[in-house]
Amino acid sequence: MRTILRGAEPFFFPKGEVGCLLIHGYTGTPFEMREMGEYLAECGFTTMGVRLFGHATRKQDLYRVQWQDWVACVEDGYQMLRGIVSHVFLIGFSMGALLAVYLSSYSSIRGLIIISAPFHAPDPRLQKIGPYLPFIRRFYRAYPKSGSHWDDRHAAATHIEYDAYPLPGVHEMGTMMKHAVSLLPEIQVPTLLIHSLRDQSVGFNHAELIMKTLGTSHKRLIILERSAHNIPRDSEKQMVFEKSATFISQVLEGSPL
Amino acid sequence: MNLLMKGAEPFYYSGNKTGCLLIHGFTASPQEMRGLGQHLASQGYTVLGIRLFGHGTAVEDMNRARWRDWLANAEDGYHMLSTSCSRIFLLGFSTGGALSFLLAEDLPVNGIVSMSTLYKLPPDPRLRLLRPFLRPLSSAIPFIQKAQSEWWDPEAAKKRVAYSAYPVRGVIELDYLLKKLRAYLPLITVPTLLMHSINDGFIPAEHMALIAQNLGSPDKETMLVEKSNHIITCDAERQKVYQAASGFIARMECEVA
Repeated sequence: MRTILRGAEPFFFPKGEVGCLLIHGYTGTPFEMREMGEYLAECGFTTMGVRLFGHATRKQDLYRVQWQDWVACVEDGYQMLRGIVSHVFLIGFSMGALLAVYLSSYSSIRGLIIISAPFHAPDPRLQKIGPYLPFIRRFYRAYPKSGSHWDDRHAAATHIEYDAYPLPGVHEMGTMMKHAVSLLPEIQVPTLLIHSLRDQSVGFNHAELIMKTLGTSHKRLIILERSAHNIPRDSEKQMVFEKSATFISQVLEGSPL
Repeated sequence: MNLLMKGAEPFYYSGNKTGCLLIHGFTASPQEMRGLGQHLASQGYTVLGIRLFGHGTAVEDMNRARWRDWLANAEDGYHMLSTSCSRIFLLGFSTGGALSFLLAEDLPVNGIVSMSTLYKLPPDPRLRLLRPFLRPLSSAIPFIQKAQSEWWDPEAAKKRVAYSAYPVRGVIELDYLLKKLRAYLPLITVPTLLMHSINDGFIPAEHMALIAQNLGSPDKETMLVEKSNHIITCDAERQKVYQAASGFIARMECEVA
C-alpha cells in the first residue's frame, strides 16, 4: 500500500560531510525542494528533503495538525542527517523557512537559507479573520487557492500540491510564525535570504522585514525579478541553486558573504 | 526545547548498498530498534530507524494519529533509503511488522524481518470488554494506563523510551491497520523471517503462527526465542534476534548473487 502522492516522496542523497536539510512549504511537498536537493548533492553536499506531517497525502490530514508536528518532522530530519554529517545547513521555503528558523534556535547549525518566507500573515483575508480562526477552523475546513502565479508555466503545470489551504493548518502555521519571528533577533548564524519582487503570495516587503529583524550581521538578501512565490521551481531556480551552493561554501570557508 | 523525547530520535547509519529500514512498534519509539540498527550497521549495511507519527513526543499526539500516517512514515523511510540503496530489507517490530507487510505489497523489497508482530488486537481482557464501545469511549477516556510489564533483562527495561499509557483512539487505528494486514497478508510474496518469544506476555506466539499461515510468501521461516518478553529487540535474548536478522539478510543477498 502507498499513501504518499507519487513524485512527492521525501529524498535523501548521502554524499559529503556537509549536510543540507530542505524543508518545503505549507500545502507543498518535498517535490518542490527536490531539484535543489539534487543540484546541491551534485555539488558534493549530503541533502535530505523531509516531508512535513499532513503533506503529500490528502489535504484532510492537515485538519488535525498541530504546528509542533512539523517541528518534530524537521527534528527527525536533523537527527538522521547528524548521523553522517558534521555540518548542517537548513534550507526552508515559505513556511519551511520559518521551521528552519525555529529549529536553528536550539540546534547546532552552520547556516540558514530562507526562501520566500512570510513575516506575518500574508493574505489580507487572513488578517481580517485571524482572531476568529480558532472558531472558524472547526467548521470551515479549507479555502481554495486563488490561481497561483508562476513565471515558468511548465513548472506550474507539473507542480504537486494540495488545491486548497486547510484552515486548521493555516491557524497552526500562524502560531508557528509568531514563535519563529520572535526568534529572528536571536539568530546568529550566517543567513541567506532569497525573495522575488514579483511574489504575489508573500510580498517582497516580508523579506525586508526579516532582513531587518535578523540578529546576525552575516546576512544577505538576493532579490529576484522574474520568479513568483515558488522560487525553487520557477524560472530563476538555476541561479538560486548556484548562489545557495556558493553561500554554503563561503560559510564553511569563513569568507565574507 | 527539543520536541522529541530524549532517546526517541530516529537514526541513520551509512553503509553499503543494502538498506535496512527499521520500524518500531505502537506507543514506543526508535529507541527499541537502535540496538538492532547498530548491529546491522556493524555488518556493513545502511540503516535507517524511523519515527512513526505521534510517537516519541507526547502521548496526546497518538490520539490524533491515523493508521495511514504511520504507513506514510514507513514509506518516507523507504524512499529515503532507496536513493542510495539497491536492495531494501524491512525490519518491523510489533506494529512496525504489520506496517512492513503493508509496505511490501506495493514497493519492491528484498526481504522482511517481522518481530513480535501482532495479527489482531492483543488478548487484553479489558480490551475485549471495551472493544465495541471504544470509539465513543475514546473522547471520554482518551488513555488507559499500561500494566506493569515483566522483563528478563531489567537493565534493558530501564533504558526504554515509550509512553506509559495506551491512547484509546490510537488503539482503534491499530485495529484498522490490523484489518488491512489480515486482508493483505496473502498477497505478500516477499521472503520473510518471523521471530517471536514463546514467553511473550503481551502478544502470544500464536500470532506468529497465524501470520506465517496466512502470508503468501513461499519462502518463510519462523524462529522462537525464550528468555524475552514482548520486546525481543531489547530483552535478554536480543543478541540472538540480531544474529538471526543479519543472518537472514546475508542469506537473501547470497541468493540474489
